Amino acid sequence: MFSTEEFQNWGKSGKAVLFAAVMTKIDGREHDELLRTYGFGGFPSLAILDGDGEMVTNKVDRNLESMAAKAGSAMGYLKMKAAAEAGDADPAEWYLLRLRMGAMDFETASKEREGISFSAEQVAEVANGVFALEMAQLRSTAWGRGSTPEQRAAAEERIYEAYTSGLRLPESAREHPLYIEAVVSKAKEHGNAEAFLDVFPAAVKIFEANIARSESTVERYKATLERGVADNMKERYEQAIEGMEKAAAQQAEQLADLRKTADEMRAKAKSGK
Amino acid sequence: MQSMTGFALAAAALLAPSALAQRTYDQEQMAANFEEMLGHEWYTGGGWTVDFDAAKAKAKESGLPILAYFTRTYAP
Repeated sequence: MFSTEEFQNWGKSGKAVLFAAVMTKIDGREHDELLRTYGFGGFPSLAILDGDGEMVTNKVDRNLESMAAKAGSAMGYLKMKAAAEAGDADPAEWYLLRLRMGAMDFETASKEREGISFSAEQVAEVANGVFALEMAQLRSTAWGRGSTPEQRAAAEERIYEAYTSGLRLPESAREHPLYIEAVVSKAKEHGNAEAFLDVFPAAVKIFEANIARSESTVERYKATLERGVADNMKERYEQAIEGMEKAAAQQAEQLADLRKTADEMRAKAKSGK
Repeated sequence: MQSMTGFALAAAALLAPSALAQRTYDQEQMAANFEEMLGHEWYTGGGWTVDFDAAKAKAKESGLPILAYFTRTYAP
């Protein structure tokens, strides 16, 4: 991403200071573990900071559109934050800015939304933005560690309900596997051909990417085995290869089922039923 | 049957990080890795800095935000 001409042109255009917070494990290197300071869980991660190194937002997707948008809004955000703290900001504008910057969680956004009067132009952005926050929360609760099948089923229903009511995630999140899987599954269950066929291309992409990733990993592991590994590792690699090949075969089978369902849905849509 | 998303979790678990871990950090190697990164096209071509204090100073002086990219140069 950062090697593209598009990004490099943007990087040199003076819209942000580009700082690579590199963890090197070099003893004594200053700021080597900044990741931990900001509470990130892993690499790579992105954030917008101010000149004091304070976090403005860590909701930065790994695409130029998101980076440019968040960087572009950052200074205006900080200015309005100061105004809001002084009681001098328009509530609707301040709410929207925080929503766009990823500076609110779902609970806060839901609660504060009730007390604010939004213009007709703002209503859709607020609804979609709050749903995006809800989706992020569902991802961690319904699909996180310790989640139950009942929680996942309820989350899938909620996602499908949101989809059929016209709520949409931002472009960058619209093909997230959890979201696509929920809509595909519930659309199939409800016989909703329009919804199924709308997300079907994204579902195919996900399955194909899973299969390709598996095949690539199997090749890499086989190459590692050929180069030679410690005796205690050989069996683990062989088990991993076998498991990956089996998982990829299952994904291929599911993809075939999905295509079959798509054919059925097309026939249904054509017949008008 | 695995879901679209279950696949990723299952695949990741098959060869847990400890199996591939290189837990010792040879300082010469770490320094070499860092040096190599500093020569990568993504770094040299985009106007990046690895100096946090310099980034903050430039941000304050110019009124610009900092785009911070958290990455690493070693294998866990």
